[in-house]
Amino acid sequence: MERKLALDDATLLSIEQPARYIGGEVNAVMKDKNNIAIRFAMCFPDIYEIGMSHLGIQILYHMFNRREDTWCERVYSPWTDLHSIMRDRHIPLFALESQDPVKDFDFLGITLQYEMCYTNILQILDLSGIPMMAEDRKDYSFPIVIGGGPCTYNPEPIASFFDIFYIGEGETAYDALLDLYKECRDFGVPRAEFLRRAAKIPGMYVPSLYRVTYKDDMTIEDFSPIGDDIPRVIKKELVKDLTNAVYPEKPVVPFIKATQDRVVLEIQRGCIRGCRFCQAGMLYRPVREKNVEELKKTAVKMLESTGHEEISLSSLSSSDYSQLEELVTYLVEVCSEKKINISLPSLRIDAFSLDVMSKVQDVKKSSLTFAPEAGSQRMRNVINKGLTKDDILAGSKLAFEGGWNKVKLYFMLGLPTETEEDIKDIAHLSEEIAELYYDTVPKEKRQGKVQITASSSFFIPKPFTPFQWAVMGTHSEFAEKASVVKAEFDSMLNRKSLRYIHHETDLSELEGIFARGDRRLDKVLLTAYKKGCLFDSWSECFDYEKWVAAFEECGISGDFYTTRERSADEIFPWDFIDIGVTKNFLRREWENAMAGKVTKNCRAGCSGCGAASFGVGVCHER
Amino acid sequence: MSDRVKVRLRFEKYGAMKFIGHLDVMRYFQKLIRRAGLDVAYSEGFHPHQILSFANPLGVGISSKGEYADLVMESVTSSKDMVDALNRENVEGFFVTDIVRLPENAPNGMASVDRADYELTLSEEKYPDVSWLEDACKALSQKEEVLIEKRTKKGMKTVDIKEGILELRCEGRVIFMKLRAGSALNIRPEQVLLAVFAQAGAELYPFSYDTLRLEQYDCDGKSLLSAGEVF
Ligand code: SF4
Repeated sequence: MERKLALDDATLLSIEQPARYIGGEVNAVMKDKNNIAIRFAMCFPDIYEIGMSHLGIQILYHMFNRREDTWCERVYSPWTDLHSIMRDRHIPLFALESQDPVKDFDFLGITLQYEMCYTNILQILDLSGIPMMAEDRKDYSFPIVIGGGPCTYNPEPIASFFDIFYIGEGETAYDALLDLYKECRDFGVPRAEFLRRAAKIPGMYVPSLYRVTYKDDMTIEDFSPIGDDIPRVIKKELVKDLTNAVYPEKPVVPFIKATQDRVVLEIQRGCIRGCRFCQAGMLYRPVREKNVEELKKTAVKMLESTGHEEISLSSLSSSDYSQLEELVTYLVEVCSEKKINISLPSLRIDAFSLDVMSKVQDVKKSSLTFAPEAGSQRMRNVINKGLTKDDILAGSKLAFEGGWNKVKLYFMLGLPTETEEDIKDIAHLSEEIAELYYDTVPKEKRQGKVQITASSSFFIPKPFTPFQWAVMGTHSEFAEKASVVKAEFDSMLNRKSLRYIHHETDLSELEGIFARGDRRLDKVLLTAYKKGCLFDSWSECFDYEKWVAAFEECGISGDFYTTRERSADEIFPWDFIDIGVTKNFLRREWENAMAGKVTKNCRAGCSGCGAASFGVGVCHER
Repeated sequence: MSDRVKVRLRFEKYGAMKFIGHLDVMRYFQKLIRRAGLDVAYSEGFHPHQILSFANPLGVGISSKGEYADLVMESVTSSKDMVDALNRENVEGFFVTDIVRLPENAPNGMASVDRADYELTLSEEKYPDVSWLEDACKALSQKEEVLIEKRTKKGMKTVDIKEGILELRCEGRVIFMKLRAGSALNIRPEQVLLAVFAQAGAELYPFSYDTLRLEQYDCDGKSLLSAGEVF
């Protein structure tokens, strides 16, 4: 039987990219809804092309659909053109597979990948016809709205909109939750009681069951569960055996070109490095590797089931994967035979990676990537970035000799303790690399100029990092710093070979507010959404003025969350979550940062962060 | 290289797949051919690609029973095998009907296509009464010239598309058209439909009809499939 689409032809033909809304892709899962007990709508609150590129959703989609009693479908944010049509004509938001309204589902799962998607969450609820505030969803006539993903490590700014947050890696505890739901619903247990029971499943945070009180200075006085049976601390869920964890061997293949139009192979989870600004580096501790033989098999299966012409490896730091050489050598062989491109993640530049890169890409067109994150060695010690100038120069020299002449460098501005000298060193380092090129490559062998592109983003302090205590720079400080760096670049001898670009400042400020925000921000989000804020991470949609007005209307100062000095003993909104890494360790690391002291990576020596308590991964390697 | 084989596929595109644009159809087929495990030929270079070309892009919103793609193979099995392998991997809305082997010197589909048949069905809801339609089609086919407004770079221009309309008839609310297609002269069915409505002084509403491409032919009026042989 042909699927009936939720949107009529006239609508589909009058919007951009109608294929975003029709489903029916290769490997999309169809089930007979008459035999299904639980309907799960899995949402990535951004456009289809972005959402479809996300590995986590594909993993969960596959995992849910393995259950016979459950049908998991996908939902993405309708772009602004369709948004207006749906509002005007009261067309309810629908899931792609069945094209049925999301409102009729049992669960609406929303993945929270970045703070700037928060207004899109409200759009999803709004277009679905689901009350935005969790307290207004009193029975099973509305789906259980559950959030997951990195932003759940401080879910407080959006706590009012969710029934549950799943804290940690999604592969472990959903079965228990779905079983409980089925039982409660079928036996007429009220929704509120279901949520109470759910709160006792490991990893489940039910925000309505916690009360927050504040001191006169607006910081948190107390954050406690309502009732003795509700856990005070929620420990993140973690996959113990990554090799045998569920993985989508048949990922859905979009018709339109998604951001990731390729097979994505996750090789490990976590990172041994401990950069002090990096949230992912702390959240996913300890590092767990996947078995290389299994990875080889998975890669082939995924290529066969999708027909993708490209494969890429996914991890926070692929060079630290212990079997990388073996895996990459195998992939290069298989892929050249099957005419498949390999897109290599940014590997540490050394003889091995350059050799591989020269095999899989056109040296003349490709560029080297380094992420020194800071210009000076002093600053890199503060942030615990192990990469030294010598590493960068040695890698560049090798690459220049191998024919490369493009280098990309990534930096941050606004790091704790940063001085003007530190940021000017961004230009100096770029200049030195350019000089090295002209010293290394004789004139007759040069393919035009060397091209060095340095880009900087603004540092945003994130929860669960040693820098969670840091003061974030203001808008104007950021702009000032960027212009200092720009001027320094312009004064370099080799400036014609150098390019400097920097990110927007307005967006960073807002991201900073929500990253370390608390429950009181929910009304700002509601107000901003009502004013029309949507797709804030899209520069063509982002409207800073509206946000300023929303904060003003709510009487809330963003500076409280960004530029305020936080004391050592302040209770943070996210302190109720236990990620394994202790607050003591983070504080110690903050002090090391202030002293400019470097901490070893997990393989060079354990620094006792606390994640060993999970009993797996790098902490227990010999 | 010389034992490579050129084949031609005919496929249907229908249902929700009519919303997939031409570039995405090409991407879809590249992945489909890989999934089906066909021994397709690739170009040289760092990013090898399949040697695959489509005869005539189909506009978004139009369904078809007669789409064509040419493909160079390293080796082939049988037409039936290959058709089955592709259809096993096809999603609902794409269906391969035939594969034929082309003579070595055969021009590709893009160069061969000269005309195409279309069937347009008017919506019952939007046009409850279509009793005028047959007369309008007849009148238009008998005219010396068929003038339409065409948007060009320099603004609107009036052009005569008479020579591009090879056949035009109607039954009830279904209009059949045989139109010139391809690089020399390409007439789109909605251009003709507009002329039919103009002839009758009727208003054509947006999105008020379905278009189906039926088949495509070379300049001798032979189906593009007939250039090759089943193997
Ligand atoms: S306990 Fe030690 S080895 Fe394990 S993650 Fe923490 S620092 Fe690394």
